[in-house]
Amino acid sequence: MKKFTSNMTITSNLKNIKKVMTWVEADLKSFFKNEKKYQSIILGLQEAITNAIIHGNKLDEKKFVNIYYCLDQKLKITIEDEGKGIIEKNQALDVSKIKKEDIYKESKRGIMLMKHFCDEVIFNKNCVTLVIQYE
Amino acid sequence: MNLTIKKSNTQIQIIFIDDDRIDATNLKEIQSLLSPYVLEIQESELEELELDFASINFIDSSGLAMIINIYKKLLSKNQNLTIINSGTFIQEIFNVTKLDTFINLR
Repeated sequence: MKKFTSNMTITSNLKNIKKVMTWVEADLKSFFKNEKKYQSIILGLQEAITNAIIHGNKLDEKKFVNIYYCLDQKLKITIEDEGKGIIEKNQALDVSKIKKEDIYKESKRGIMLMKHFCDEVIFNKNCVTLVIQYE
Repeated sequence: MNLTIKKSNTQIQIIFIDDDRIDATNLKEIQSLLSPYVLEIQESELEELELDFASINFIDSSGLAMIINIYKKLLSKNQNLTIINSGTFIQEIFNVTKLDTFINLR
């Protein structure tokens, strides 16, 4: 199979997420045979970019978020910001570990959703890579 | 995003129209649209706020946070929040994050 790569850079404004989604849909949606798998990677991507803009780059529009994908046997999408990376405690968040006393909390669900809906999530300093089997 | 509002003697029903997402990109707009109705319910004897998700096929964690926030406001007045016509993907998101343990999904 042919390997495809592409990247897009946005400034740290939440409105720019729509541009990324339009780009991803045009480039990648047709490769997905399963709608649920496509919705899953879109949710993971949405959470990762929102996290990069808000927590990584602190909504500083002078800072950039770079999104890179590689489509091969699997789809890998890497989201890179200019922050310090996600702390280990938050990397470990998981839907299976939601405690009864935490179910009404309004935060911390983004990483859980990424990890639940993608096949693999790799945290490496200021980069998050989402991996999904798309066929 | 736009809303259609239906009122009865027990509830306010809000139908989302013209957009299919509740996420970080449109959250502030949706919050400002919903806020007057949440306040209206809180100041009334109505029993329930019903959100019709028929047109919504995507919600992210910031959208979930907004839903939890509305739920807490209504709970303080013993009023209910119900979401109707949600699709299977939305239902799975509510299920894995355990929101379905305290928010009515129909």
